[in-house]
Amino acid sequence: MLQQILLEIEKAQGPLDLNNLARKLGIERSALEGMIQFWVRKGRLKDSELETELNCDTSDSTACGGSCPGPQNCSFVMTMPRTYSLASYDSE
Amino acid sequence: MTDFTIALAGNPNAGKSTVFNALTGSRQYVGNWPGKTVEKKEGNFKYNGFNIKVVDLPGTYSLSAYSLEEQIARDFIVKEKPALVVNVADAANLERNLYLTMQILETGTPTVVVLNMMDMAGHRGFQIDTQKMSEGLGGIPVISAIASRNQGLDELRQIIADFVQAKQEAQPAGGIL
Amino acid sequence: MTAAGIVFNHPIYVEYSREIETEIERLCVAIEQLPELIAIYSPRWLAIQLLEHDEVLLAEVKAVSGGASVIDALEGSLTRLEERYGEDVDIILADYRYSFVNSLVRNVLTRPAVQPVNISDKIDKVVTHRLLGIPIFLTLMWIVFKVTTDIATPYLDWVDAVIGGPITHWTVGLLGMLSLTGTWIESLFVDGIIAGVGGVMVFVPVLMSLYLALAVLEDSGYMARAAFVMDRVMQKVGLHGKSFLPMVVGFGCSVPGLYATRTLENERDRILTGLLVPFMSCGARLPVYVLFAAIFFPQQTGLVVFSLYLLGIVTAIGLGIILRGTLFKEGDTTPFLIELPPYRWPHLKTIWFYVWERTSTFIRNAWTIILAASIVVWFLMATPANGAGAFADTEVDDSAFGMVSGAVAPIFAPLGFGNWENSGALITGFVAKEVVISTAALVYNVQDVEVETRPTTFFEDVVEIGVGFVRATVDTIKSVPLIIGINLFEGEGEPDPTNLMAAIQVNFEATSGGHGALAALAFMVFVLLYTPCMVTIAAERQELGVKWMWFSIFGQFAVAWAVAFIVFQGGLLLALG
Repeated sequence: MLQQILLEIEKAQGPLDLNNLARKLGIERSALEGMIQFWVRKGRLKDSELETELNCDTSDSTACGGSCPGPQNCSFVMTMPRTYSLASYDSE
Repeated sequence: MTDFTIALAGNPNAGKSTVFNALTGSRQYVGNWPGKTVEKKEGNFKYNGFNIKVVDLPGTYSLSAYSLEEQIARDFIVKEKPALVVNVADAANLERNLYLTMQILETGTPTVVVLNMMDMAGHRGFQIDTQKMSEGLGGIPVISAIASRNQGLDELRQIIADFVQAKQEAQPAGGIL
Repeated sequence: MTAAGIVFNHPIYVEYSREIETEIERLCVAIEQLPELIAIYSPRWLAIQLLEHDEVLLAEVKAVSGGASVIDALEGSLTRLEERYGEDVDIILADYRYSFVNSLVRNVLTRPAVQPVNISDKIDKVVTHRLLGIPIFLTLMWIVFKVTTDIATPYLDWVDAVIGGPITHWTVGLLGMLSLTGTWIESLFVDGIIAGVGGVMVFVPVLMSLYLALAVLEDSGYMARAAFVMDRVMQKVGLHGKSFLPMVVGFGCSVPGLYATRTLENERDRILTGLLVPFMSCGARLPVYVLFAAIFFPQQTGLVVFSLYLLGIVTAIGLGIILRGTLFKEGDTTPFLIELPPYRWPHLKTIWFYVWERTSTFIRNAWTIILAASIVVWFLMATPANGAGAFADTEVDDSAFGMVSGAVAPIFAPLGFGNWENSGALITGFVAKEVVISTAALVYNVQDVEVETRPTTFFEDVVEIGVGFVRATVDTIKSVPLIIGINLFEGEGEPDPTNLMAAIQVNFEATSGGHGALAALAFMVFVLLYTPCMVTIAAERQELGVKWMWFSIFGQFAVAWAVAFIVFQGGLLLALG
């Protein structure tokens, strides 16, 4: 069940939508989210929201019209969908 | 005087607070869990001559102690040993909610499942066979409820009372937990 | 323990595999030896938690006297199970629970035979369709730019009239009261600051409508789908599947787009995407397109702007493919999961917040970067470089600015816009793309005839501003049916060209040998493709490193030159324009 999630992501040609995956595996969407969080905790999936927050550098205030250059605080940044990617592809 | 302590457990947004308020009415007090910044709500109600204390555990998705809330909920169930856990589950998100149910059952604590928000599940066209579910969970009571409309709560009170009664009879000497 | 036939705690457990159950039993035996533990915990429960590597309980068991025996047993169990499953034991245990719950739910929950498809799903079926997804994305983009230019153009004329009229009058009047008329200070204010900053401020209405359109797409949830659809394309051509997310951000501003590349895991992918993001046309480049399209393609402003945005995307993808085949050969296409938010009606408050935040950032920029750039440019233009004339009273050809720009101008000759005015605008455009406009306003303003100083009273000016605004609003409302309706390509009569517009037109016709429209197109393409601004360069340095920053600066310049060359020379060959 848990493994299938990783397998499906790996198999996917292109980005995979959460709703489609839930339908494919016959898992309730909210339950799938719980399972994904399990993998995020295990470090096997990377949660884009956690990644970008960790990386926000607030020391440089010159960028982007004087606001924080980090993706969270610039007024031009768009609310982008949350993504989870396989950690095994994290080379280098 | 408190005769029995029961705990309310469930996922965030499963309607635990509504059940808690319905059970205890105005007889509740809010504090903090010892040494933690997490809010602790307790209340009382009387039924068939029993004094029953209700502890509202923090809303959690699991009992695996990944977060402070999970740690608190787990410690209370395992160490304080409430007489009964009332597990409030969101019927519209049954699969996610039942994961916590399985973990509660794994602790060996007597448990009642309240399938809340049956109206939401109905809107989605879900039909849930509570009888089958009870069987699937080893025969524990499964109550369907719409706590926001006060439906199913009398049944819950009755089941709590039955349980307390049976517990009293099984342990004629004591009774304080 | 029953009451009225109800079981409360029948020992129903998830049943794990035989191997796991054996190990649980083994651990239970060890735990039952320790009264301190069984006083609190049920042995089976504790055994399972220990197998799941629960730190808190592990520490507790270790602290108990005799706990070491349990830990020994646990280590043996874990070794055996991990050997058997080749996986962490907690994964196996959680998997059993999830599977148990899944099959229980299948047993007790009946979903309707015909799943009620919600509207969000229905829209997604079409919008993220493998074939239809891209045309829909392009159509929406086209509507965005059509709406943006149509709605904003009347206000554009209004703001232009206000800045050129009342504000200039008032400044001149005020300086007159301070008896500064005719001095270089008057020239600095009127020819430098008002012409430069004002020239950019004129485009605030255009940007507001662009930000409005983008905010609606963003807040409704469509932008996430656009990224999803385009990322499928990216992955198909061998680029990272998450590349388009930062590029969509780049439509607003390249800088956050660069920072958004951080969601890519692999450093090579991050650098490659970071190099492509600046080709996405940001908001600051829009004024340049609008100005030049209004001069040379007054009937098709929206189409021209849309084509430029599209060219940016195509160039980025094309270069991405080339770079992937050469400098960035290694690297996998990482598969990933995307959480598309449900569609919703855009919230007015959120939209207003986005539009206001972004517009005010743009205006703040105008008052800092552009003000500074305008003053510097004015100063360089006022400074005689070869001894002819005096400060603030020199022919532009003799000024420092004219000399430097003139020296660079031949580079742009094959592109059809090789004179000192245009090269000066492009050089200063490295600071920010708005500066291209402010510099153009300055250099072309010089040749302007004296501003007719029709004496007006303050009251008349205020009335004029108000009337102008109402007129602009009426024009905008009149333009709405044109957007959705019939004659999409035909504006209703051209607005009067301003002095600046007329000057630019004359100039481009001259440099291109009578092919002004082609040269203007090449100019816009160049502005689209070369380095967006200083802040982007700083962000590139931080995100990509110094080496790739230089690569990007020179690379973008080369690409911009080459594509502009193709546009102009190709256009000549095909005898367009």
